[in-house]
Amino acid sequence: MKILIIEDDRQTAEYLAKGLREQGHVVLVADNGGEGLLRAAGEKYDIMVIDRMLPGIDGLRVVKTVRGAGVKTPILLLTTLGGIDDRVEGLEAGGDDYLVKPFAFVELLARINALARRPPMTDAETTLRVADLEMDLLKRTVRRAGSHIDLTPLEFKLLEHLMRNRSRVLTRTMLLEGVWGFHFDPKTSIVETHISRLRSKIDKGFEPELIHTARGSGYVLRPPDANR
Amino acid sequence: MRIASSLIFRLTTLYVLLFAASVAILFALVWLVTSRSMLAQIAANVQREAISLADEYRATGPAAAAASIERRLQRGGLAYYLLQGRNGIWIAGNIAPVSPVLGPLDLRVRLQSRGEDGRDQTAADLRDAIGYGVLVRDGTFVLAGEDVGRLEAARRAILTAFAAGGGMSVILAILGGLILSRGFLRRVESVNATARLIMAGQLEARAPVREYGDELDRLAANLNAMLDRIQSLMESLKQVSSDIAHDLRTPLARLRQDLETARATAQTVEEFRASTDAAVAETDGLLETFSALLRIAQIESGSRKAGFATVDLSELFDFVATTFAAVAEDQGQKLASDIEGGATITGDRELLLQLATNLVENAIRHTPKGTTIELTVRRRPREIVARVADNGPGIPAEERAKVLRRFYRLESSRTTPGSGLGLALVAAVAELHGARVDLLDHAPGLVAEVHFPEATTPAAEPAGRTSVPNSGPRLTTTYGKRKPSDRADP
Repeated sequence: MKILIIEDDRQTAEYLAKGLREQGHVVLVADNGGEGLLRAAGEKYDIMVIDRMLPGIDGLRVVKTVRGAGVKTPILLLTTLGGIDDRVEGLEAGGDDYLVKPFAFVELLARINALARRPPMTDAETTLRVADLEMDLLKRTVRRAGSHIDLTPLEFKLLEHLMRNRSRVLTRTMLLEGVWGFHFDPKTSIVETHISRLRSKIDKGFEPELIHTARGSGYVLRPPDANR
Repeated sequence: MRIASSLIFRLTTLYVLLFAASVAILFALVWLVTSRSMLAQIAANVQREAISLADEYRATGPAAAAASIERRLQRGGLAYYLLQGRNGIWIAGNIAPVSPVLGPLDLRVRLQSRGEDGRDQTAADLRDAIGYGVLVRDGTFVLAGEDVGRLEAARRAILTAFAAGGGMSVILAILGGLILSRGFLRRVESVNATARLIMAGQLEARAPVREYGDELDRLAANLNAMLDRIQSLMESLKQVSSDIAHDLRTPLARLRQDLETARATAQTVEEFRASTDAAVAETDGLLETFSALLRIAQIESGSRKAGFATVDLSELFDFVATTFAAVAEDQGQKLASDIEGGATITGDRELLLQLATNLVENAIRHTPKGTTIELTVRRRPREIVARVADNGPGIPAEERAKVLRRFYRLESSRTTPGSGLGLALVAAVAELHGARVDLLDHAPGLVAEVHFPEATTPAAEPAGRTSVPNSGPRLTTTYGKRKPSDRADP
């Protein structure tokens, strides 16, 4: 993928660029808002990672300008510690996701992957299917290998989120945000608990296993034939 | 200098000026009225005298009239009399002949007397007089007059009286003003002295308040109340800073230790990794603490109020109960919930979600296996009560108020990971929503109650149990809701 990073902190920018290049991406770095805008307008990128606080034209303005120009490239905003209001502002400006610094690199990677391959929203989609797992979004029922699986509404929501993001690693934070709407760090193992319950219903007694743990980063629902 | 620039002095001066002006007006009035009435009286007197003298002349002749004038002068009647013949020849009286004018007249006269030698002696100076002239049939002219000097004397007396009285009053007013001014200044000065003491570092100094309760006392009392508030805020701020310093010192020390270990003693990659992992974990803990502090500060600033919307607390707490029932079960605890439907308030959903989460997690994390945690939401008149009760070890009564503070941690929970900010955040969110947090004894265990003021009357909805929005097939786990009949309001 071709990724544009607009970040004024050289150390952070280099850390991100290095990590992303190691993953095989093409990375361009701009260290201020003006240069970032020029680059964003000049070429087509798959993802833009924009820091909120930039010298000159700040990150939010960059996002607004880019969106105003009709660029639909997914944007991941970065911010420093803290502000609860920042996230809302960032998303309202046209950002697609939001990550608070400092973050683990796997978290950034997972979010970039999720953003890059975000499928076009098709409302018509009423059935989700991964291997022999089938989810009927209208009847709100789940079947695996033809047999009905009884899920709580929360488990249903969790599974739906995993299925919509099949083959993509979802970090604990992403699941907390996406499924629970928690934009804070709970002190108990909510995600682990509910994933383990879901697993016991989806994977127990069935072959092969669909829900996998991505070590150190999160969880992924993957059909058996998919390559790692 | 200080007195001259004081407000009360200026007011006194103004008052004195006004007073002097009113005295002057009064004086002018008295002057006018007195002069006029004296003039009228003099006019009446001279007329009466002149007419009576003329009558006497007609009845008794010139000699008798002259004798009568002598008598009248000696008796001290009027100042001037004149009996004058047809051709302006002086006959009797004490002034020189004048041109005969009838009726009331203002005139200037010269004193004249007939000496022993029979010669008339006329004084040189002219005197102002008010007179009345009568002409008798044979051409003889009779004049009675009064000296204006008497009127002037009366006027001078009035002026003197007013000047003395007015002067005394002004002096008294100035003295009174000075005395009042000094008293006022002294009281203002005592407030100033307090302010100076506080600026000099004596923060506990307070302005004296007398028992009269006048405006200055009320001002002083209000100032004192304000100072009390500021002092308590400063103390809590001081507390927070020292707490931050203290609470961050420990993890920072551990972080340093981890890094030192990695640098100095780690031999293998595994050892190195273990040390750096520990350092990363410490850093994460520190960042979490900072993040929580910033969040609390942001909540306390009240900026989130702008985004308030209707929040269904029933749905929210039910969702939290569903989420944590499984977590509790995995820890060998039981989470039961009994949530009344239709409990809506105006608020910030995200923050309320965190409030509910923190309360429930607090119960889960600080109670042992086998504990039952009950989550209830009740609609009461004008308020909604969300309640998290456990039958764990509880919190000693004297510690309950403290745990809502930042960084306060019970001795018993010092070892469990956590920032000690969870309940402080609950308190901050509750305050933002105008809610009250009560920590009570559950004998045994702890009850945390949040009393939300009911903002709006929720839409007509049967007061039943709520369910999560997308209520599809539901597995009944340990977190089974009690049936309505089981409900027992505390």
